[in-house]
Amino acid sequence: MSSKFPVWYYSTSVFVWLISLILIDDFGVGFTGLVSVLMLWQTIRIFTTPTILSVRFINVVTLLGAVTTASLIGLKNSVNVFVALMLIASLLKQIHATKANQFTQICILNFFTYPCLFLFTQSLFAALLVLCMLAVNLAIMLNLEQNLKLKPALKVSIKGLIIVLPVAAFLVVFLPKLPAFWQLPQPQKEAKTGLSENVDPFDIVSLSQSEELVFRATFENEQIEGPYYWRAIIHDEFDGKRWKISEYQRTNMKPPPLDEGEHATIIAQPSHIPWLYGLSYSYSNNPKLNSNVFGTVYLKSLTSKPIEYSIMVSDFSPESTLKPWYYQRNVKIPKGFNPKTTQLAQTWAMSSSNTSEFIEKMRLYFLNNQFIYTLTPTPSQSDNRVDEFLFNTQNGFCGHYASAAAFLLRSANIPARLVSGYLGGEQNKNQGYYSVYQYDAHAWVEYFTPGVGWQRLDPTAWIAPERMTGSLSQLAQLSNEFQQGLGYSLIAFSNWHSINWVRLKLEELDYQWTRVVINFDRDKQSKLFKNWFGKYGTLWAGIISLLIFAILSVILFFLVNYIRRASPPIELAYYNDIVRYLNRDSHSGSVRQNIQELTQLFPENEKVLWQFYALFEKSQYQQKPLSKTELKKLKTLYRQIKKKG
Amino acid sequence: MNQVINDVIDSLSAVILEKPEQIKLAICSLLCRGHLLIEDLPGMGKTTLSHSLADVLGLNYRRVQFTSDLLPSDITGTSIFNREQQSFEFHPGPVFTQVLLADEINRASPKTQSALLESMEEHQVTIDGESHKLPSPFFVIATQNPQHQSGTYPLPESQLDRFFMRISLGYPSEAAEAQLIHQAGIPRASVKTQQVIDSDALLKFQQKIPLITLSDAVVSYILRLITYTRSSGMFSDPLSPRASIALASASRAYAFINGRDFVIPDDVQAVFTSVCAHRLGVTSTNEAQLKLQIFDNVPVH
Repeated sequence: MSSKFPVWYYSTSVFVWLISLILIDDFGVGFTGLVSVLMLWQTIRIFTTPTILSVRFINVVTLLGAVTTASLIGLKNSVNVFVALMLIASLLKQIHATKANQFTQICILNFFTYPCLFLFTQSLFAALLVLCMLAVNLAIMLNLEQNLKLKPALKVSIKGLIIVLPVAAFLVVFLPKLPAFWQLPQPQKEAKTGLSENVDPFDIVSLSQSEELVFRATFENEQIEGPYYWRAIIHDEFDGKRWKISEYQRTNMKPPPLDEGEHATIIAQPSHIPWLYGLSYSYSNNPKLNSNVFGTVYLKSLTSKPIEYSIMVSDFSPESTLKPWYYQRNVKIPKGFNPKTTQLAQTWAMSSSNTSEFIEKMRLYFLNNQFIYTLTPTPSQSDNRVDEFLFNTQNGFCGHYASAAAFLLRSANIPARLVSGYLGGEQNKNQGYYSVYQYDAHAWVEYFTPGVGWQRLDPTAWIAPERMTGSLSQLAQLSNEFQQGLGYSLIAFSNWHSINWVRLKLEELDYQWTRVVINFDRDKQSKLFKNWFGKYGTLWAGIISLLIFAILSVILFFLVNYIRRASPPIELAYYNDIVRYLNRDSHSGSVRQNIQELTQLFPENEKVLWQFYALFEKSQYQQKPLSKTELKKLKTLYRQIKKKG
Repeated sequence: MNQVINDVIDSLSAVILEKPEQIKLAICSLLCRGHLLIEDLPGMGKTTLSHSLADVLGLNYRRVQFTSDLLPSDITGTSIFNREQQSFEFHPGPVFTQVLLADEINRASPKTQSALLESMEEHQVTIDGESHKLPSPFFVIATQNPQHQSGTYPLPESQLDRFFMRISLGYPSEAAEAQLIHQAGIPRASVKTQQVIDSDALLKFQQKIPLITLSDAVVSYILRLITYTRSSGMFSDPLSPRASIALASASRAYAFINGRDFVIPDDVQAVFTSVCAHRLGVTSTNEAQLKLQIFDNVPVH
């Protein structure tokens, strides 16, 4: 960038850098580093007298930038690569831009670059940020076109955007939501946090605590009482080390639809796995979802947008027996692992007459042996992890307890499976919804009792009963450990009342944004139309919106005509401006006389003024419309006169 | 500036000293085939201007001194019985000329005045049912004295409207007067101005005037000026459409004199008082005030 551009043009590259920073999880540290280096180069060029770069040099740097970007991101992830290339292209163009039309190109490109952020996040924050960026982008274009200074340019661009907002809202509400003709491939998210399909708690040194939102839930009526065990993944297969999902879960076995039960509506944030969240036995009618016989729901295909769905929830239906093959599956443990545990289970089984007695023995074992709940357990790599946990280390988090309990149950031939999901959630008192964050992740056990059916068992609750009553963030005992895991984020300061209040308000705003704006889909649209216009709502909405559109265009047509007729020609506008600007007294008198007067007031401007007059005379008195170049010249003359004046 | 017109102005300036604006306006009036009313005190050069104009343009020239007993036939001419031919023979009056100087027009009776004005309008004289065409170009320069109005028949507004322009020469500057004193006593013939163009050339120029571009912007300025006289309520006799047409063509002629083929508002302003003041009933002494008032209130754009 040449020094002749105002310094605030630099904001464009800052924005690109900001986007790369926000997307650091998707693009990696390397890419952000590359952007930072380029921005540093840009800074140096701004504050020193920049040389004009040779075409060859530019080509080499462009190629290098493209290759580096592609190698940093990896070609496999096409969306990420193209967005990254766009960011780099915008930045490189800014570095070498020295002419106004080059910067115009950048601004036009940025109208596409900035909204790329929406491919990755659709939060309110992102929307506001992109809006601000676009406002500045427009202001730069106004500066390039009309030479407006930063403040007036920003004023004009913000005004324009504010005028456009209601139109945008109108379009969102009334534009028919057609199914997409084609779709971008989803940008692939790296699984940094969240549940995983294979659980091996013993592999984890320190449970990473993320305050990332997982989902929000509202209950139709407050019938369902806590604690809320949000089931997501059923791990019904154990290979000695890890708990896995059996293939059986994804088969197309349709469960009988639930007719009765409590309703809950859930808005789930996009995730890298299809499994969604439900309470005990859940069923959903949403066409985008599948429900399975385990009472869990999952996405037919992954999306990058938050998804809203409603579920019907009921208790597990009582079953007297499991089918033999299924019974076998749920008691299966690979031979040769954890011999001590197996032995222990068998001793307990021998001395107990039913399942609940067995579980009581298990509970007493955990309580009597001073097991500790911790987020930083002792890791284990041995083949007999459960043995080590139960007899040596005796510390761990929910995964350890659930995994051990399930193993013990299976060893005693009691069908059991591991469930991972979330526990609890933070209730918003105003809106009545629950927010569940990644740090609410939990694991527990479900076991089968003949005649009763599947039942939930949470061994962690024996060790840390507080865990049941609330979110992890409210747990005083663990707060130190917990907050270390969180790092510096708002939730780490939730002990401070005012900060917590701000956090909750922001959280509430984001909830409304997601619910009202992001998830405004075809169903909601037609529901809204039916609410407004009755039974044939969609039809009426179509007619009304077409009518409004037609009326608006007619009004606009006449308005534009009127304005065009009412507003003086540009030559006259320039002239009036000059006279008003330079010489307040002369309102009477002909143009020639006024120009004459001005030449006496500003002798250094004489030549320019007469050139201006000549063009003015041509258009106004000779009745010869000015050509484009003449108009351009008139404009530059006008600027020169005003500048010198 | 148009070269030929420039020469005309130069040679007139040799006689009428330091009055280029009035000379231009007089030529303007001539180019528009309009008649000129010079309102001035005696001895200010009215007559000199008019016969110099005729000389320069190569037009023939006659002068009629108007008095209260002047009869219409004294101007237009009469039919007299020719005994030899046993028929009436038309004897053309002084009006059959290219430039007629009607001196002290307000001294004649209204009847005589109207006879002259009729011929001015129609460019012909009808006597005993027979029409006689006046020569072309035909140009009347009338003079009148603004003061000493006793025993005069002032021209009514409707008659004044027939005059394309009213100008007044005013007193000369000291230097100009000194020069006049030096020249005094030299026989008139030697002061006589040289002919610069002939009547054919003048006719050609007259044909060119309507071709001068009058842009929409200037037309709307003219309209604003005219409308102002009607709507401001300050004038008992606002300008007529004839006045607006006259203003437009005078502006064109003025632009032509200045060598332009398009009119600018300055042209309109230059000719405005000459064309409009007498039609608005403003005396020549109040012209400056009229100018100030109207131009201040009517924006050019």
